[in-house]
Amino acid sequence: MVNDDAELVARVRAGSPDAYTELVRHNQQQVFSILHRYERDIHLVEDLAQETFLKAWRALGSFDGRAPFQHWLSRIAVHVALDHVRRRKRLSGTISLPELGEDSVAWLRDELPPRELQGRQAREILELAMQSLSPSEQVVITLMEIEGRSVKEICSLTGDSSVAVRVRAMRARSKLRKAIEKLEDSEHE
Amino acid sequence: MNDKKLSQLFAAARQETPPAVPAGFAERVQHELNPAERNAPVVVSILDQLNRNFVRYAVSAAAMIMICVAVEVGQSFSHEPSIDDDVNQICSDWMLH
Repeated sequence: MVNDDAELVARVRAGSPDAYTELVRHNQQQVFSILHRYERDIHLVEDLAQETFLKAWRALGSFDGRAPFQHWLSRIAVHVALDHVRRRKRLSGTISLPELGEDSVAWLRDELPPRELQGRQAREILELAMQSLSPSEQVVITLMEIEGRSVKEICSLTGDSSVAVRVRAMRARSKLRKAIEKLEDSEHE
Repeated sequence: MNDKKLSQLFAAARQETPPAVPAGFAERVQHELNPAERNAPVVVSILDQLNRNFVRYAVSAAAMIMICVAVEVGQSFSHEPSIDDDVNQICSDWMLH
């Protein structure tokens, strides 16, 4: 796959536009997987993925081939996601409390066995709780805890130092804990 | 809220499957690139080229310096006239004239 990508990049550079369509096809699932962690609306995820590939096309001249193309593209996708989270936070301003599904509320009330909590419900709760986090904290905690990436990988994707990543992750966990406690209290009332 | 409960939340979120890519997505990306961009070969700027070859240039420069130093040290041990001696000679000749 990596060699294929390198070959496709060489063909794009030589002026073959069809090679870029092929490159998009090779990497689209990976980009969607990254972006859907920050946005649940599939139409918005598609817009963000398109933005990622357009940015990649325009920056292709700076791709030096030292790291695999997939990694370089992931870095662009993470930055697109970060910009999106920033925009969303600026627009929403205050914490909104959309209605949680019945199962999510049951889990918060400790009425649902932990194993029965589905991915969709967990995301619903996390999305709400993450509104108390800064955009960069949201990205770091998502990469670390949901995508399961190492500190080194996160540093390379975000461009932050390892100390900054560790501090952000710690702060994010503490804020999340408090936000979920608040949600639990509001659901108990 | 204990750490265990937060971990459960993360573990469940990890299980969520990513959405399938809508059909024709790659073609739509291609369509979004304006025709001029689409047909133009990707231009690699001089700065990008320099940046890409920076390590090679740095290693070559370091190797060149090392070779010069080694030659100079070698010559000083073999008591052969070195570049310094030649330069000193030229300077003193020039001063006398």
